[in-house]
Amino acid sequence: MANLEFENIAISAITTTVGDRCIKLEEEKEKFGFDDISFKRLQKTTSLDTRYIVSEGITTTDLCIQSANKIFNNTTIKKDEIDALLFVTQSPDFKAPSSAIIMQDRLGLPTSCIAFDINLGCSGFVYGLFTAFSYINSGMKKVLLCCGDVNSYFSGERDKIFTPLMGDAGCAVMIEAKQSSKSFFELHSDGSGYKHLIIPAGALKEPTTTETLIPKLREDGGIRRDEDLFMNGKEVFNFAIKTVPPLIKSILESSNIPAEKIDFFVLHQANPYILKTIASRLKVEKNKVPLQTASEYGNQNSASIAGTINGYLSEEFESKKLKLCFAGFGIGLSWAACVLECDNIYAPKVEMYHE
Amino acid sequence: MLIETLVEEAIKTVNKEQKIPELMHLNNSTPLFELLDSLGTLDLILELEDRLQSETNNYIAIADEFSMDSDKTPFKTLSSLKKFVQEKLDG
Repeated sequence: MANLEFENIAISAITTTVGDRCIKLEEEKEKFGFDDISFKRLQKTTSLDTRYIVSEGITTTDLCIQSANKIFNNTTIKKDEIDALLFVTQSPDFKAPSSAIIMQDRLGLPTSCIAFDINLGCSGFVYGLFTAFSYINSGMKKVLLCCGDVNSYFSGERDKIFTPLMGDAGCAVMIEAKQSSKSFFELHSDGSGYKHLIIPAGALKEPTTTETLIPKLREDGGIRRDEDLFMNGKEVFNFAIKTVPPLIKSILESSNIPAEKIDFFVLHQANPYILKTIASRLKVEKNKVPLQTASEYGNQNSASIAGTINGYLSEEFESKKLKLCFAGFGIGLSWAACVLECDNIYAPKVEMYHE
Repeated sequence: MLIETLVEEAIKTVNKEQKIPELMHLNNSTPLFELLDSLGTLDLILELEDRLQSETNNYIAIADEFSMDSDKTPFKTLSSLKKFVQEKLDG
């Protein structure tokens, strides 16, 4: 769906909380059985250095609640002003009910507040923003969007293919009805690729059995359970390079804003090389496309766009009016982009979980 | 350096870690894409870009929307990869 426009709706705050444990890739070399050559290859192809994951028992809602409370504690926004709480995640606290409803109570939001989960991964930040903008457009005044995942929960402990890439993070974004220039959204889905990024077992199609919980050596060399996340790296790489540049070109065209007028293209932080390739295909200046988040924090799924803003662009967001392009792409397969403006918003540095 | 040699040397470097027997004895029909996993293919892309940069003093991007497309990838065989790299070099 393209050509979706909003006016006088804006983001007023973005915060991100990452896991409380910082793990250096070097420390995991032995655990995953990397020799020196394979370890160097992993560093070269992924630029991994560290990642942040949670200690046992901490969930995505905990990370998002810390992020949301940071907004309430440091801005003039009151909890009783929140009309909706949207929670984008693939790692809810329970299969039912929606974690967002539990978060409504834990955050002390009014019961008049709409709350529900959205099951999306790396495209989820833009989808969540679109849903929030739509609600404001329908008459709401303030919507709290929380996004994130505890990826370490469904990364095999000894899966050297996937686990070293993943980080845990939860962000909070405040969206408000306020004077602002137009925002533009474009969103897509293609379920024919659902098997390329999937947790194959643990739900109704493949219920949990003793077998699905046993870690097994897979064809790609990773050791994982059927209930851990599987990624077909070649297909996902191909999907990203094929879909994201046309998506961004299309949204710039429909918003009638040339790439030179965009201050930052904040994209889902999958792999720095993928981002570099996308930037080069779009012919945009390298410094407008931050790509270091996955190297420092790990892949943060739907929190990675916020994670990049709080990680590396905090000063710019807090002191300037910026024209921005956000794009997310991944599991589903699903991809989405938006062009919008942020004017001196609350966007402090990333915090580790501490509550 | 000849493109043929540059490509073969890049594959040999990448295979130091992978140790795939078929990549130790290359011929023009060697099915590179079938033998390499995604990180191996990405490693080869980076290795080729590094070597081309050293040779030409220019950054030449190797990845495109067909790099990891199983039907259209230029990495399908050694022969198709050599042709692709030569075309990139010729601009």
